Amino acid sequence: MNPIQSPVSVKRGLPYWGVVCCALFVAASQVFLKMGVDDTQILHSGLSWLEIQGFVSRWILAGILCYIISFVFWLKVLKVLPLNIAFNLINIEHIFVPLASYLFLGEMISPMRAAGIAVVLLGILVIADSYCRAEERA
Amino acid sequence: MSGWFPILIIVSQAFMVGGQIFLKHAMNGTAGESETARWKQAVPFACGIGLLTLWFFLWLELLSQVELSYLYPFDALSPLFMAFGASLALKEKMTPRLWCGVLLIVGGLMIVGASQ
Repeated sequence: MNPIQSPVSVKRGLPYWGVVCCALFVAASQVFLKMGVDDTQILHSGLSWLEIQGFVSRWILAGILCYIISFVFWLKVLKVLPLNIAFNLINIEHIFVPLASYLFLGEMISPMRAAGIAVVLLGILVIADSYCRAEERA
Repeated sequence: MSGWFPILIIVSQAFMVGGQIFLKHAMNGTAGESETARWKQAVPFACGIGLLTLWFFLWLELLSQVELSYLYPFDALSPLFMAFGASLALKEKMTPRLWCGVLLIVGGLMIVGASQ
């Protein structure tokens, strides 16, 4: 087994910013897609198909664009972080998505869901800490 | 057909883990000037995108057939599958501390799933 890979020194700050940016764009894309889908349901009876497409596609396209940007960040993160570290750190999106749903979509977060999110955050902190220790040793 | 769902869910997770492993493999390689070096990066990248596309459409099909509350716990297990996949295919070292973090994330996602 190889030891945990250490990132290239010049890109020391990138993994963390890359992970945060990737998760933020995923959260934005989820919110935009949800807004697009909701608008389809609201407008379905009042407007013609072409009008619906013209309006809704703005949200859907914004969602797809954000997803593509998040994928570019993901590839940059994969270049410097081991896969299992990157894949687990990216679970921070499970904190950003409910937060964005609360702020922009007015969705409520139940105490049980908040507890689950807190446990996920704890797991992410444990993994980030363990990677930092491995990086210091390297 | 319903008896096949657990197998199809595992297959979809295998597509996702395999796709990410191929992408990581592609990103590990440095793009060189020679055509051989470019192919060495392009082939795993294409395989990764292909597997992730398969995962996406299989997951959509499963979402249309099965309730989300049934699917979500399997999705929550993906960090566990990824940890096994990365340590087997990419020889990434998993320390006890990392396993602890993975299990916390899986547990947290299970609680989020149960709150739906």
